[in-house]
Amino acid sequence: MSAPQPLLQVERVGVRYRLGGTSWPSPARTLDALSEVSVEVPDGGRLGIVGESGSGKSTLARVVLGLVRAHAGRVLWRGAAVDYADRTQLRALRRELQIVFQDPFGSLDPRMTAGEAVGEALHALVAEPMSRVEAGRRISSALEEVGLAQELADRYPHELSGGQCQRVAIARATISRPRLLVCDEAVSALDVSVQAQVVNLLRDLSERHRMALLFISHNLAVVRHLCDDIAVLCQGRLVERGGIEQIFGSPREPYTQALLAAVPEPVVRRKGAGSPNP
Amino acid sequence: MTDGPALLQVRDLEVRFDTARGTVQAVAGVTLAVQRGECVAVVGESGSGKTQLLLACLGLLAQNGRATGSVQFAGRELAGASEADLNAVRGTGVALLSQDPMSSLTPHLRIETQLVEGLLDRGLATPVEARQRALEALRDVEIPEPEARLRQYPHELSGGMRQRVALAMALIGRPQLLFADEPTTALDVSVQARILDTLARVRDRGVGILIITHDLGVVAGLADRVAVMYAGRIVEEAPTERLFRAPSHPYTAALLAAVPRLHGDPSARLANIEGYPPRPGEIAVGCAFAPRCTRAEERCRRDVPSLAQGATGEAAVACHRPLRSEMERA
Repeated sequence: MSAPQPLLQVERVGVRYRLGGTSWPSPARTLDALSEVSVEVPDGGRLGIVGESGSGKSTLARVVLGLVRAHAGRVLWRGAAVDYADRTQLRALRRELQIVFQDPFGSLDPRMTAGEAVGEALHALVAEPMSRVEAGRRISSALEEVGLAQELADRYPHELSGGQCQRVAIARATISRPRLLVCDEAVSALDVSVQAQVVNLLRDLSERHRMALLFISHNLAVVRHLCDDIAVLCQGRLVERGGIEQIFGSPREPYTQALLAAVPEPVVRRKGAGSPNP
Repeated sequence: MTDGPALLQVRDLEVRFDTARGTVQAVAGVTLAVQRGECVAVVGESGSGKTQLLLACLGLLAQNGRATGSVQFAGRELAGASEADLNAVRGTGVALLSQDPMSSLTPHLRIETQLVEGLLDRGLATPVEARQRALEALRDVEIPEPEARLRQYPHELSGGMRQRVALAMALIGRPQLLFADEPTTALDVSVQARILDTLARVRDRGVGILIITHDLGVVAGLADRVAVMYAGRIVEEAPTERLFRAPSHPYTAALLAAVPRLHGDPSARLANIEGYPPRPGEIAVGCAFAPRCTRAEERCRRDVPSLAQGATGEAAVACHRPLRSEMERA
């Protein structure tokens, strides 16, 4: 099989956080948030990163975006190493690489309407000059694409539901037609019914525009409905990696099995002997 | 039905709020019971009124909120009771575990101070006994190294650990009834599973639990019965197994289908419910779910369906066209 060039490669990345204040006279305590983690996302592919709180999954997203500096390893974009210190390169990369965060209210400016929020992203990320009419058209079509009715464009975040806010965040992130969208627990704070809508929306956008996804979640069942491949992180290390079928059909690692067992499914499990029910 | 009064009996509870835009009804005629050693789950989306139902039971509605109807705890009327009467029941009779452990714990007090404060304030224990009770409560919710935890502050604990401390705080007064409002929503699935196990153990010990959640997956293995709420009303109530196996209300079936699963076709789209629930204050004619319901007909848009009570152990459903067969549910 001739492997095409992956869109994103993370190679043996390590991130170390310093805990506490000074390093002298007592040695500074450090925490390895990531150690030797390697993953890759093919062009148009969907990779799920799963693990518990503190497993390093958000740190990995931050390294890819250049929000956290890795002390070891490197990140390659279309085969070329990314120099996060190079501002010109970073600006170009931001057009192709976007993120949606967990908290839909926290990631929007409370003083901007939905339309203004999307317009801000349009002007910041899309380089070519455009008329106001053209900008308005692009904003409308971005809102429409994420399933928001036109009349919602004039609403402020506090006038929108959690699911609607998250759609605005997705419209902002996708208006520059990025090649890769990083979703850091993007559906975890939503009601189950709204979560299903947003998962389907992300899948539609990914398929329609051949946009790759790096989807971070603690819920394996959500990842299963969205991704092709899964990487399981535990305490900063990659413990298992594989396709959906392999991870769900025959998980090798006990940690993966434990994560699977914890998924809340609406099926009746056999109760213990202490149950008051017959 | 068991003998004697239910641990919690809610009858025809209505909750209204006076706002600048007029009166908004959050809960519309809810009747619900919880027995000793039973866990009942109230499941609904944001804005369905489930949290206001719980706050009304505890007498904790906001200033502009009014509740009518009856809330009886072990035969004692709580609706309209004085603050003093309510305080006599709070903590030792009924307790609350809320969603966000960071806001239910006081950031500048050590865990020990927060755990024992309720006991000491009411003279329920001497300081030495209170400390002993605090240690027991922490052990009870499976917190490792409880002695060390007593000296710590909330920010030194992980989210899951904080929620365990909040649970210990709710249980330290040995309540008979525990209200849990989305107790695991802010947590990872693995931490969530462990908290749910602990709650199941508490229930098996005889404590009645009323749990509020938006996720039907959460109530599996914990709830004995489930009441599904939509736009302020209970639209279906059934034993958990029955509800999962054979949902009668189209809304229940849609909520079940929206939960992502570990089995079945992974490439299938998740079933989602088109549209949004009515905003509180919107006056609905007929069934509130009708605009989103694929089975709605003329009658659904005209008459509000009442909750038809089935025989004991059966489902009660408020729907003109309930799902009756496997084929209809598919």
